[in-house]
Formats: sequence, structure tokens, C-alpha cells
Amino acid sequence: MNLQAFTRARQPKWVRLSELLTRIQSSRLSRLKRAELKEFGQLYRAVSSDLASAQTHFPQSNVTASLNELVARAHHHVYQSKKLSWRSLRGFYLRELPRVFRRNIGYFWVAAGLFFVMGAIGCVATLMNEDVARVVLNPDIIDHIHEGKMWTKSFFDVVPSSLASSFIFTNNITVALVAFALGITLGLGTAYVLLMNGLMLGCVFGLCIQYGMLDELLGFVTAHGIVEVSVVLVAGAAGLMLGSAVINPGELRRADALAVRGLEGAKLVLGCAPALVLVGLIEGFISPSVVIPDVTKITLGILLAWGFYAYLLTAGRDRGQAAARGASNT
Amino acid sequence: MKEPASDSSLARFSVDTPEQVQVHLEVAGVGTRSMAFLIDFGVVFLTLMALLFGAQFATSTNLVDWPWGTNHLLLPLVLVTLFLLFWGYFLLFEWLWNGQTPGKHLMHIRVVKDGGYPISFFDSVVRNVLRVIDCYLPPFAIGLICIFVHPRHKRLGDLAARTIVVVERPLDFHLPPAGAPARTSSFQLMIDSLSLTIEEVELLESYLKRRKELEPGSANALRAEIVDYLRAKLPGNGSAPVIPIEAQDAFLEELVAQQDGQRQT
Repeated sequence: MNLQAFTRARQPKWVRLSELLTRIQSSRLSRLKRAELKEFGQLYRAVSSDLASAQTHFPQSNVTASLNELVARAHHHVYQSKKLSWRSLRGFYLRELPRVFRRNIGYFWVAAGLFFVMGAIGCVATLMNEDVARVVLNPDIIDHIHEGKMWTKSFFDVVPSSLASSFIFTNNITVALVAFALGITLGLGTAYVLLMNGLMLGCVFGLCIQYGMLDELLGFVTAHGIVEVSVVLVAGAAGLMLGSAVINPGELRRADALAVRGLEGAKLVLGCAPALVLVGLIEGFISPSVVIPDVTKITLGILLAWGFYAYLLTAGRDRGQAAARGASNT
Repeated sequence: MKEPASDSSLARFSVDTPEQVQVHLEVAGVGTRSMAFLIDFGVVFLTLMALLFGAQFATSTNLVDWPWGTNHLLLPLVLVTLFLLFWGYFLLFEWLWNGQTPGKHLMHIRVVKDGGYPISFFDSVVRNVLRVIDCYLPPFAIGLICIFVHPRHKRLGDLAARTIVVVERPLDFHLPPAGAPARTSSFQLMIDSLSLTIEEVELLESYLKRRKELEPGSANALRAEIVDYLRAKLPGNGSAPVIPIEAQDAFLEELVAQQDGQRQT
């Protein structure tokens, strides 16, 4: 075979394929007309076989290198993965997300354990010796509690609700994403975030109990707090999944375990992030309100938490599973 | 998937497409990727600055000392935009633009899955959330070190998302050297009039295969010997045109390819 003749005979197809490729890259695959899509597929197969013969006959030629590049690029588009559509988004929230949560619920329990055990330690330690809180908490918070005032009041009295909300939810989502990413440090970074947040919350509760402000604290915190903490725990669980893939890949190769748990972890964190926007708005607009009675706020918080966990624990169960559960109950 | 080829300092690897064709991909190195990152970082930084100055002007406040008490709808909007820019720039670009950001586009590199496929939304999430550790966590070099050390130049985000950053070469279907036609046609004449024995073809093939491993000096000597031998075989008692030294390897390659082709048909 002769390179000149080969190139001259096949070049029109290569040029046509690269034209179609340029158009695809500037828009999307779906913008090609049906006939062109078909043509693209045919050209891709023809050029693939050209590449195969060029590799055998002219391994060193620039033509072979360019054919390789062309096939690599086209391959990229022929086997395009599914794009996120409204339909797949619906499927994700109706079935996939809660299933991923339940599949990895063990990590959630570990994250919750770290957080609440450290919280209990912080609370008890503060009750026994107030200096513990001094080490952990912002002195401003402690001063306010000493004067019998909620420290949150001075923040929300000054800052408008819209600004407070957007600050709170962007900050919380960032914390959740970072807690997940830190999982790559064998889970140590994630554990640190969980333990520190648990400790701080525990110390606040300890102080408020000591100074008789538990009612006020609960009135402020419950409406948004339960779901807020829950999402951070989910993010912590996702981080622990990453870490455990490195430490204990199980039956998988380490690289595979990292890929599988990384993907599921990302689904958990990003899937739950919108809940942080909702509770961020509640924390800015409802929690600090002096008009809304505490009973209403607490009821709202409990309802939201119930909804959050009912969704994660029951949504998307397939019929077989549900039936099996029903049978075992009777 | 094959191990990276050993004959090159650039990491390469090949994937088998479902059409049973091997496609070689060239992995982008530290330099290109750092440059792409710096460009993207610059774009994000300048956008941030423009946004902050614009908002400062519009709300007539001082955003360096954030005006918590100011009730202006622009301020929460600025916060949310900063947040989206920080987390969304790489994530959305790589997802929606087939693995490229403006920086990667300028540097002709692209993120793909290990098999050469496009990345999905969640692949982009994984690799770009882990960017926090790779690029923004002090000492700001974890990703750099990983790319440097890993045989396929992967940072932590690439490891977890099973992605790889490949180089895109420009397409060039132009035929070999300028002025080639005349020479090639005389080449072609020589190639057509040579008929080789199996042993001779095997000798040529083994030379072509091994020439890169030989020292340049001995490779040149060997090639000169082979070319002289072949020219002597041509009809016309050595009147055949002289083949320039830089074209000799191409000549031999084409000769072998032609002989292979004849044997197959």
C-alpha cells in the first residue's frame, strides 16, 4: 500500500468527519440533523478502519498520527455519556439518592457517632468546668451568654435576613463540600471537622444549660438546626467513604473502591446541598423572628427533620423490597 | 489498557475502541496543566474583582470591610455569585464543555474518562470538589506533586473520578515533506521495480524495528549499507537516483509496507 494513494483516496472522509466534529464541539451532538448523525456514525467506523490499516502500514507517518487524533476525538463523542436532563434529575431524587444513602448508612452512623459523642463530651465538660467552653468558643458568644442574651440576636438585629441567609447557606454548603473532600486524607480531615463541630455545639448547649437559657437556645436552633446538622453528617459520611476506600477497599482494587465510593459520596453531598439552601433561608428569616412563637418554630423544625429522614429512609424502595418488608412484619 | 510506552518521556497510553482499533492518547504533563490552571485562576480572579468593584460602586459601600448592616439586594446576590464562581467554574465548564475550561481550551488539553470517554456530571463534581485539596489546601502543591509523581499525571481528583487529562494535537493530513511528489514518484518507481525475498524483507523489518535502539552512528552505517545493497539490485547498474539521507528511513518503511501489501493480496 502506498501512503500517497491511500491518503488521496480516503482524505475526503477524514475532512468531512473533522468538519462534523468541529460543529459538534461548538454546539452539542443533538444539534446535528438526523441524517448527519447517521453519517457521523458511518464516517467514524470508516475512519476507524482507516486508522487500523494506517497503523499497520505507515506507523511513523503524520497522517497516522492525525488519524489517531481524529478517531480519539470522534470516539469521545460517539460514546458520549448521558446528559443530565429533567428526567434523570427526577430519577435521581425519587430513587437514586435515597438508595445511595441507605446503601452507605453505616458511614452515616459512624459520622453521627463521632459528632454526638464529642458533643456530649463538650456539654458535660462545660457543665463541670466552664473554662472548657472558653478554649473552644468565640469569647463573644460566652460574654453574651453571661449577660443572659442570645449572641445570635446581636447578629440578626444588624444583618438583614436576605444577607444572613445567603451567607449561612453558602458557608454551610462549603463546609459540607470541604468535609467530603477532606475524606481523601484517610478520613482524618473529615473526622476532625465532625469532632470540632460536635464539640462546639456541645459546649454551647453546656453553657446555655448552666445559665438557664436552654429554652431560648432550642427556640432559635430547632427550626433549622436538625436538618442543618443532618446534612453535615451526610457530608461527613461521604468523606468517611472516600477515606475508607483508601484504608479498606474491601473486595475491590483500591483505585476501584475510590472511584465507586467517591462517586456515591459526591451524589450524597451534592444531592443534599439544596436542603442547606432551604434551612439557610429558615435560619435567616424564621429562626431569629420575634413574632413567630417558639412552639411554631420547634414544630417546623421537627416536621422538616421528619421529612428529611423519611425521604432518605423510604423513598425509592422497589416493590419487591417493600413487599418483603411487609411480609416480615406480619 | 496498556502500560505507558517506554520510548517517550511523555506518558502515553492506548485504549481499544469497541471497533477493535487501538487509539493512542497522550497524557498532559505538569507544565501544560499548571499553565491551564493559572489561566483559569486568572479568569476567576478577574471576574471576582470586577464583580466586587461593580457591587461596591452600585451599593456605595466598602466591600473589603463587608457591610453586614447594609440592606441592599445586591449584597446577597454578590455572595451567592462568589460562591457559584468558586465551586462552579471548573465543575460546570468541564461538564458542559466536554472536559474543557477556557484555560484547558487554550492549552489544547481535555479531561476524559480513563477509557477516553467524555466525563459525566458527577465525574466533574468529584474531580473539582477534590480540587480544594489538590490546589487550595496549604501548601497548595498536593495536586502538583501528585501529577508529577503519578505515571499518568493524575492528581487526587483524577484518581477518585477516574479521569485523565489528554493532549489534543492539531489535525494535519498534509502529505510528507514539501517537494515530495517528484521525489516520491521516483521513489515509487524504485519501490515498484524492486522485488525482495522473504529474508530481505525480514532484514529490513528488523532494521526498522531496532533502529531507535541503535546508536545513531551505527544505525546510519547500517542504513547506508542496506540502501546501497538495494540500489545495486535495481536495473540500470547503479544509475538509479540517489536517495537523500533524511528520506532513507521513509523509503525503507514504504518499501516494506508495499511488500507486505503485495504478499497479502
